[in-house]
Amino acid sequence: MSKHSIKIKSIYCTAPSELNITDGDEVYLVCQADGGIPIHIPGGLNEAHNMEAKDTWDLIDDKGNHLILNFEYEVLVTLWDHDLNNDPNLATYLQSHDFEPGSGSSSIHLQNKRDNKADYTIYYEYID
Amino acid sequence: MNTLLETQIANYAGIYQSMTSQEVIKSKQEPALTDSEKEVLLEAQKAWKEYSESSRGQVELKTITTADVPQIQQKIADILDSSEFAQLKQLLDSLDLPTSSFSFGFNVQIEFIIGFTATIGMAIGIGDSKGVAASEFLTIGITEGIDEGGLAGVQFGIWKNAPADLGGYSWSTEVDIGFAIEGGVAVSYTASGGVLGATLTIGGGEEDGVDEEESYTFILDSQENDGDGYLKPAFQPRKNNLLIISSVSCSDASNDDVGSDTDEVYFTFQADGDTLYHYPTYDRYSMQQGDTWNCGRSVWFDQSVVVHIYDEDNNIIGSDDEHLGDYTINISDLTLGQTKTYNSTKDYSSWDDNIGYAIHVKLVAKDVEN
Repeated sequence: MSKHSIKIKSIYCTAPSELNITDGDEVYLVCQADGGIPIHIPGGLNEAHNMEAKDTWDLIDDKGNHLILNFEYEVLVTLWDHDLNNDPNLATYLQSHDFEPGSGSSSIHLQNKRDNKADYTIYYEYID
Repeated sequence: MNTLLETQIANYAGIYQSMTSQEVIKSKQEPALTDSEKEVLLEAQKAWKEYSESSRGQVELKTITTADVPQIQQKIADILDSSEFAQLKQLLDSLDLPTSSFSFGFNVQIEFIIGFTATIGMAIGIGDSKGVAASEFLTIGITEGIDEGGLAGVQFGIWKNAPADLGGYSWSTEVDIGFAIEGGVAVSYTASGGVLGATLTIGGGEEDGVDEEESYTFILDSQENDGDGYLKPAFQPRKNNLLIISSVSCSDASNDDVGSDTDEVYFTFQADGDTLYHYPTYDRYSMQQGDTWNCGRSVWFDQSVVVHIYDEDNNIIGSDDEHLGDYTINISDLTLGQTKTYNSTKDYSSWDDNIGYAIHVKLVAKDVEN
């Protein structure tokens, strides 16, 4: 049923949440296409990618594959900070963006202004 | 299919799908069940037959079809405490078993484009782990040929690992263990080919000749450690229409007792009176007057969606959180491709504190064929 695909190329961290309090964020994505099964990136419930200010996370897996999200209407990408292993209920919401069909390459700046000051940019490319 | 159970299992299916499977080493240990382990499986089969055929058991099992994961876990504990299982528990206590856990769970088959089989179960310590804390687990794997989703029998297991250590990948192969038993017996292996345990599956149309069927076990809760935890619902079964709550805007934040003008915002949504979801699924998003949260939450629905916005006051979502806004979205309000703004129907005119939150809703699909 998927009609569209988007490549999430990288994520850039301008500022992690809780700046100067912790050693960066333990970032993971939850990607949910058309309200379907939520996919955890990196794979595994307790997996995350450490990001400090000025870090770039290239979303390429061990086999060299880019993160491609297939969707029909929209795909919601949510950034989380993995605060405590084994308890997703304690994860910190950083920000989210809902991608609808489009074209070309671009980026989206996501800022959590009031609470934890997380500041991230998602770089993406529509491939279909 | 029980949609709440479906949404809960979907979380674990998504995590399982996102993981990279390990290679299985082909040199497997020869499975060998001791006489006492066979005795346990035979007694488990007998206890289940007595329970499931009893009038009380039949009434209780009907409630399982509408239960969610925590309710099923509670039911499993109740069943293990029933009189029909007393002899089995006595046997587990008295035998000198080489294994460390005994498990009991319900199998569920479910289709999310591809088919999954899940076992929702509980493990208790036996043998070397006698008296060790129990664990609650959910095992998930991909399966083929689901005719109709739903409950698909029960599974008993005896395991080398202690209850809290049953998590991770395993591969099961059906075996003939040399004695007559109702149901299918399979041996589970670790990635290195070592025997992890053996399972007896009763009911649900056991598959014949299963070979190296991969699965992954999440420890949801354990008295020994916290486990992987219960994930909140996020998956939504498809309905006829799809909208996106594109954003939430704040024209006036609430003022709390300590004079803060920031709200710790989250919202719930419920389509057609079905499963209640939170967004963000965990945590909240802080907002002040003039802020807009581009949340982008899609919602499948047939007729209507009810949304409530809350201010999380005490870090425990749902307990006395302040209501910031109520909204009801009807399909008749919306035009395909267009965005409509909803102001709260909650009346704050008699309050000292003005509160103003609006949601902006776009209809992106209508009358979808599913």
